[in-house]
Amino acid sequence: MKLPALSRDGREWAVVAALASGVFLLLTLISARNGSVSGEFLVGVALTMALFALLALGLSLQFGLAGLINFGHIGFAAIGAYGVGLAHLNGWPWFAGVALGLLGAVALAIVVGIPTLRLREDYLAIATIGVAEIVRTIALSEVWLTRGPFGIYSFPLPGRDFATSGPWAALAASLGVVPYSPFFVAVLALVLFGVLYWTFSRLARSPWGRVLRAIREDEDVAGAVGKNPFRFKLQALALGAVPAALYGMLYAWAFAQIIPALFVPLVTFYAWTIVVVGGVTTLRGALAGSIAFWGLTAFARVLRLETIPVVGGPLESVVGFLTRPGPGQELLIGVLLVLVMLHRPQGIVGRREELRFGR
Amino acid sequence: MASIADVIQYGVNGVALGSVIALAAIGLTLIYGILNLANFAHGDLLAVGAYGAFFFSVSVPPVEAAFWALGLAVVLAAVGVAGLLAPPTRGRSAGSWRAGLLEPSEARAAVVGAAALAAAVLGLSLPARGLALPALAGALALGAAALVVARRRTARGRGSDVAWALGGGGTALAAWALASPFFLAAALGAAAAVVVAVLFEAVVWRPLRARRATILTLLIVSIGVAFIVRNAIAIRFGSDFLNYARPLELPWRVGPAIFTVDQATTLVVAAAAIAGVHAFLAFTRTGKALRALADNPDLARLSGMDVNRLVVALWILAAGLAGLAGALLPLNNFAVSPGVGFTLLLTLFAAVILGGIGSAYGAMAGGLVIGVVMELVAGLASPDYKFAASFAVLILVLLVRPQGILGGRAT
Amino acid sequence: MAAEAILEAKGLRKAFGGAVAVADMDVAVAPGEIVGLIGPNGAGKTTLFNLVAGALEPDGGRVTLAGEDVTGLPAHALAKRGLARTFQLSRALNRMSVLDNVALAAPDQPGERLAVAITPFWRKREEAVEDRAREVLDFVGLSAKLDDYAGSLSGGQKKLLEIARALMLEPKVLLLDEPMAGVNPTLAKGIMERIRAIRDERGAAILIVEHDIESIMANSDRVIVMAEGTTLAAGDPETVRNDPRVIEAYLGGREP
Repeated sequence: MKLPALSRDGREWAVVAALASGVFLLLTLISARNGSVSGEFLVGVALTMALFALLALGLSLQFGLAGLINFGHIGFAAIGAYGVGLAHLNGWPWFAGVALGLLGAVALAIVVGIPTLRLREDYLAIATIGVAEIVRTIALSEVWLTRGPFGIYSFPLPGRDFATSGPWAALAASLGVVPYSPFFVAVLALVLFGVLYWTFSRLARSPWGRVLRAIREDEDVAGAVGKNPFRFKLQALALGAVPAALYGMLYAWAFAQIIPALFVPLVTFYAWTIVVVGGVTTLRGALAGSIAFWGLTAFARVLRLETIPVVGGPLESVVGFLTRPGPGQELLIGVLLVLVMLHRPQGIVGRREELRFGR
Repeated sequence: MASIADVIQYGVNGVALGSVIALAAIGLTLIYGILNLANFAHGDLLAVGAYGAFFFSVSVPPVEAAFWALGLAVVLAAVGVAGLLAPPTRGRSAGSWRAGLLEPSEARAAVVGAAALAAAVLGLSLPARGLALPALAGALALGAAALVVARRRTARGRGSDVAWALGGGGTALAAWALASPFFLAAALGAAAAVVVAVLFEAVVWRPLRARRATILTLLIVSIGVAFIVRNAIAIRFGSDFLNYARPLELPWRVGPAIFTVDQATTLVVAAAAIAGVHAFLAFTRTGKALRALADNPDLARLSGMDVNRLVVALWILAAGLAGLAGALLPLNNFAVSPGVGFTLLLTLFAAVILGGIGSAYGAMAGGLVIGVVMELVAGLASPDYKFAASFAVLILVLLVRPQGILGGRAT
Repeated sequence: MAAEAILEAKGLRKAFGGAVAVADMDVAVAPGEIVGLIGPNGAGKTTLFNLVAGALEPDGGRVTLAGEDVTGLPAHALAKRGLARTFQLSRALNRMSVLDNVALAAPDQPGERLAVAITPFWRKREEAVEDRAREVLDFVGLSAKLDDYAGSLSGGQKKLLEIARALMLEPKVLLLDEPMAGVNPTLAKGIMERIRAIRDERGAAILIVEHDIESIMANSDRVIVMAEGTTLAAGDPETVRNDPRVIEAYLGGREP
C-alpha cells in the first residue's frame, strides 16, 4: 500500500499517531488475551504519558528552539506543586494556588536566567541543577513552610463536584474507570498539553520564534541585526517553565501528595531522556518520547513474559527489573541516553539535518 | 551564639572535608579544561572508589587483598622493567598500548609504584608500629632530597635517575610505615575507579571526540554514563548506605579544636596525593605534555603529541584521584550510598568553577574554600543547608567572576 | 569633503594583553560616501572595524553615531540605531531558509514581541517584511535560492546574503568587512556595483575594509591607510596612492 506523499510535518504527526494508537491497541489486545490490563491501568499509563509530555514540552521549547540546556527543570515543577500546596495549608482558594505556582515558576526562571544566560551552555546546565537543588533543600528543611519531608496531603482537589456527578461520571462508568483523579487529571493533562503545544508551535513559527532560532544558530548574527539575545532567551526559559509548573500541580492533584522527594534531579533526567529519545529538533518529540518510553514500560508489565516456555522466567525478571522504578529503570535511562546520542541523535521524530549543519 | 572555639572546630572539619573535595576536583577540572567535557559522571568515580575500597577491606580477607596488591605490584614492575629495557622507537602509531613502548619516565613511575605496593604488602606482615614515625620522617626527607636533586640535574640538562631512586625509596618507606588494610583498600579502590574510567574512555568518549560531538551531546552522554555507573553499583551492592566499622581511636586536641585520627589521615593522604600530582605535572614528560595540552590543545596536536595516549593518562590521573577521594569519604562522616557521587557532584563543580576551569591548583584552593564554607554553614546555620551552601557559592561565582579565582574561560 | 559625518570615532584605543592593536585612531564617514580602509596585515584594521561595529569595547576613545555617543554599546543596540555590519567570514544562519535569514533583519517587527506573537496580529507586517526581503534578495541576485537552507549556499552567495541582510536593516551606516575576500572577480565586480548603488540610491555612509587595493582605489570617495594601529595616510584615492609612506608601508616599493 502506497501512502500519499505527505509533507515532512505530516509524516512526523503520522509517526506520533501511529505510536500512540499502536501502544494502546497492543495494550488492549494483550488485555483481552491474558486479562492483565484493566481500565484503571490504561488510565494510569495515559496519565503518566501526559504528565511527562508536559514536562518534556518545556524542555523541548527551551532547548529545541532557544538552545538552552536546562538541567534544573524539576525545580519549576516543585514551585508549581508547592504553590498549590501552600494555598491549601493557608486556606486560600485553589486558583490562588495555581496562580502562585505559575507565577512563582516564571519568577524563578527569570531569577535564574538573569545571571546565567550570558554564560556558556554548560554553565547554564550546572547552575540550573544548583538552583533546583536549592529549591528542594528549602522545601525539605523549612518545615514550617512546606511541612518538609512529611509532605502535604489530602487537599481538596478542584473539580471534584463536577467530576463525581453528571455526564462525566457517566462517561467514566462506561469506560469502566473511577470518574475522579486520575482519570480526570489524565484528561485535563492531555487537554493542557494540547493547548500548550498549539501555543508553542504558533510561537515557534512567529517572528519571535525566528529570532530564537537565529540566536540558537549564531548569537552574534542575531545581535548584528538588532536582536537582543539575552531578552529572547530569558523569555524562552520563562515560557518553558510553565508546562513544568503544570506538571507539578497536576501530579499533586492526581496523587494527592506533595513531598520534596518527588522533585529530585532524577526526574529532570527522565524528562531529558524523553526529549532525546523522542527527538530534540521538534516539539512533537516531547509527546513521541513520552509515549515511547512509558509505553515500553507498560508493555513490560503487561506482557506476562513468564508464560513463555523456558526463557520466560528469567526474561520476566530482567525486563521487569529494567522497567520498574528503581536501579534497573535508572540503568535503562543511562543506557538509552548513551545509545541514542551515539547512534540516533535525532530520536524518533527528529530531523537529522537540523541537528547540525556544517558545524 | 557560637564561640570562637566552635568556629575553629568548624574550620578544622572544613579543611578535612575540603581536602577530599579538592582531590576529586583536580581530576574534574583537568578533564573539563582539556577535553571540554563537563563530566557529570565524575562524582560516580568517587562512588566506585568508595565501594571498591569497601569491597576490598570487607569482602576480601586481608591475605587475599595482599595477594591482589602483590599481583598488581608484579604486573606494574614487569611493565616498568619492560619499558625501561625496550629500545626507544620513533614514530609510534597513535594509541598503541603495548608495554614495551612506555616512555622511560613512565616506566620508572611504574617501577616505583610497584615498589611502593610491595612495601605496603610487606608492611601488612611486618608492621612498622613503633618505627612508623621515624620511617615517615625518613620518607619525607628522601622525597625532599629527590625533588632537590631532580631540580638541579634538570637544570644541568642531565637525566634524573638518582632523583627517581631517592623518590622511589621514600615512597616505599612511606608505604611500609603506613601499610594498613585501609591504605591498601584505598589504593585498590582508586585502581577500580581508573579501570571504569578507561573503559568509558575507550567505548564512549574517544568515539565522540572523533565525531566532534557538540557540548549538548557530551553533557547528555555524561549524564547517561553517570546513571550507568551509579546503578551498576546499586545493583551489585544494594542501594542502602554502607555500614562501616571504624576503629575507635582517641582524637587529639590541638588548642581549642579536636582532631580525629581519621581527619589526620585524610589530610596526610590528600597532601601526599597533591604533592604527587604537582611532581607529576611539573617534572614528568607526560605531566608537562598534559599541561601543554591544557594550555593550547590545537598547538599540542599540531606538534605531534599523541593526544589519545595523553587523554588516557589524564583519565588515569583524574580517576585515580577521584577514587582515592571516594575511599576517604567514610573518614569524614560521609554516609556512603550509590548516590553519593551525585550528592557531591555539584559541590565538585562549585570547587572547579571557583578555582577556574582547567587549573589544578585552582581546584585545590577551591575545594578547600568550599569545604570550610560548608562546615561553617552547617555549624552556624543548619546542617540541612550544608550542600545548598556549596551550590550557593557556585551560583555566586557565576554571577560575580565566572572565570574563577585563577582564571579560565567565562563565555 | 562636503556633508557632516554621521559616524565618527575619535581617539580609539585597544590593547590585548601587552600588544596594542589600535592606538589613537580617528575615523569619520559621511552620508553618501564610501570610505575604504586598507593597510598591511596586522595593521589593526579588523580590530578597528570591530570597535566601531560594537563587537569590541574600546579601552579609550569615543564613537558617535548621528550625534549620539554610542561608545561601548552592544551590537544589537547599534543595529537598532541604523548601523549594519557584515562579517568577514560570512555567517549565514545555516539551518534556516535564505528568506528567513533576510526577513529576520527587518526592523520594527511587532511579531517579535512575545505578547504579540501569540496573537495573529503580526501577519500583516510579516507579509510586508517578506515582500521587502524578496526585493532585497532580488537586488543581490539570490532570488532563486529563497527557500533553500542557507547552509547550502556557496561562499560567494553567502557574501551576497550578508549584504542582503545588512540592507534589510535600512541602515544609515553600512560597515563591510572584506566583502570581496575569496570571491571570484566577476562576482566581486558585481558586489562593488551593488555597494555603489546603495550609496547612490540610499545615501548610506559606507566603510569598507578590504585587501583588494585596486578595487578600493577605484570605488572609494576617500581612503584611509592604517599601519601599526594608527592612520598612516588619508584622503582621496589619488593622493593616497602617491603618498611615499603608503608605498613604503606595503613592503617597500610594491605600488598600490
